[in-house]
Amino acid sequence: MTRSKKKQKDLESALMTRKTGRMGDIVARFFRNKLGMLGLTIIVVLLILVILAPLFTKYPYYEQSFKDRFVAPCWEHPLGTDNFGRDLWSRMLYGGRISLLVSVCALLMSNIVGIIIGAICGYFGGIVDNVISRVLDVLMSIPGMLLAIAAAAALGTGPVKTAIAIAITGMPFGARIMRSSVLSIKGNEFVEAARATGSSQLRVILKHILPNTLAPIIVNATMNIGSNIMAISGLSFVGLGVQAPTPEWGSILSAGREFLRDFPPIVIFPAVFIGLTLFGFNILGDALRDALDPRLKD
Amino acid sequence: MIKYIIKRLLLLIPVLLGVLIIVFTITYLTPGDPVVSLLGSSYTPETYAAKAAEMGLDKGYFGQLGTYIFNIFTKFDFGKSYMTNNPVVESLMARAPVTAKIAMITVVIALCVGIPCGIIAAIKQYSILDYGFTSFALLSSAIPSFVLAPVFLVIFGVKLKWLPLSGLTSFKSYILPILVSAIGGFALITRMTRNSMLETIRQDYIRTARAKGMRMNAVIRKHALKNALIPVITVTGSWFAMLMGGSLIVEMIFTIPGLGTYLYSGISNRDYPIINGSVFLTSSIVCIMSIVVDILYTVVDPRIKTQFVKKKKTKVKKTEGENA
Repeated sequence: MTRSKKKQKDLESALMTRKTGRMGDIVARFFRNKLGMLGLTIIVVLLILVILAPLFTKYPYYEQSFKDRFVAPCWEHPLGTDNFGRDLWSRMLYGGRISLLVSVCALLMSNIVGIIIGAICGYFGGIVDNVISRVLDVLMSIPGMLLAIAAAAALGTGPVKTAIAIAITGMPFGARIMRSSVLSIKGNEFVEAARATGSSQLRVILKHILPNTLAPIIVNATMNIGSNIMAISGLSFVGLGVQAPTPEWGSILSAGREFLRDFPPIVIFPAVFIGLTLFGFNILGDALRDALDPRLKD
Repeated sequence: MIKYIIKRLLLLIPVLLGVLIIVFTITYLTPGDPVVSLLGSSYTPETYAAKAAEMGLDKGYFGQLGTYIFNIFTKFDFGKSYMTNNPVVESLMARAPVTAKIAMITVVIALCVGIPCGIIAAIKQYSILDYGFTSFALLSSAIPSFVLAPVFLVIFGVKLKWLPLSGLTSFKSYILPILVSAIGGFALITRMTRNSMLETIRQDYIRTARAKGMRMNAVIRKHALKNALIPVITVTGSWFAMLMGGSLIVEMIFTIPGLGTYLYSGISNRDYPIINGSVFLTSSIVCIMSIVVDILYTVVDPRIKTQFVKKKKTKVKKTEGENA
């Protein structure tokens, strides 16, 4: 009796897991990963702080006050003030808006273009693939930071142009990933079946191939947000990214560098914010990869 | 094998040509007129035209690109700096060794520290050491070099006065730049070694070796290490290439007369030949490194070498069959 009940329960649970399907498995695996949850928490908290910045700040980020220069962190100014007496906490939160927004925009641009190019290469193959792949090879053989710097020098400064410069550097990698996953999928029977039933090529690509290539693209994208923030800050640091009056973590950091000796908070806090964001996205990306591809994890 | 290397080197030519064209196009599209910035505000149309002709800027896009590439292939001439009038090749040759020296020492140090740490973390998975190394690696990969460098400068240079602040005068001045770059690489190599080692020590042949009664140390040294090294070689190769080009920020902060500061001077002065030349040089280094990495694979794992040979043989057979 008990045994048959247990058997039935096993069967039920087996059916249940079947019901939740692949997506459920992925979500369950992801939520079991503690490090990944830590990453998710860091990013959600950062996003809330940055998006709802007006609620968490007392001073506008641009308000200067000469008598309050270089105030050490205190109740009134949680992170202190900078060389113009501007509240660093406000500047961090509003600066995060620019840093994250530019990073995400660059990511979207590079991935959308990359996906389109990669899909064309992988799906059609032949001479189109050959030519585009060679161009991508060339772009990838230029070190990323150098290409971004050269592109930023050509495009000029400002958030939109910085995003484009960084998107150019990231595009070949997205295209490469997309191309190889399309190549591995297009030989499957379901693609052939879709074609046999008369689906147009666009429909085959969008409805049948694209959903199956999303996993590596998503993982790559998550990892890229972090590295994009690093690149944006790097560009701002060299003076080719977002310019001084607009707060951005990298530009705050590079502007504060000359005061590092006497007033460390002005460099330490932007660094902490950049570091936390990178850390959060890195471990989130790792966790996503493990969840999407269980073979990679022990 | 030699055939393979030659083939790879020949394939480099179109890629590098592409790099030249792309970089030239980017700098060509850069706003601002180098002639005007050289002559200042006081120039007449005649002096302007004369200067532009002297700099080779009077032709159109294709004319300029054509002469540029022609000069490189026939005379190995990358043009002259607009500002100083020095040949770009000479400056590159003078500066590349500085960057290369720092990059090589950095890579060696990061490998010597990173690989053992990664192995220990993998063998003693979930131990305190593993958590220590892994979290240090995760944290240090989240700190950009442009944060680490100024902080180290203040601690070791200004507050403790142990190390010089800038320039390259004695061996002491190498310590900080190398330390800053090595920390990032250490993180990368430790993570990579740990992951591939974890994968390797679960293989059947490792279990066999253990079952035969070999000690763990010997198994790791003789059986696991070489197999686990392949991905580490890959990342080290691309990281070294990145160091050659991407150490710009570190070089700027420590005022090291290397490739990075040279490129930066080119960008801030609109000195296009400098930008083109240094990006071209670093890209060539990247490409050559990827060939070196492929060759290193065959040294570490002879199975890959037989793959090359096999591929060639089947190809030869195919062509013979077609001819027959």
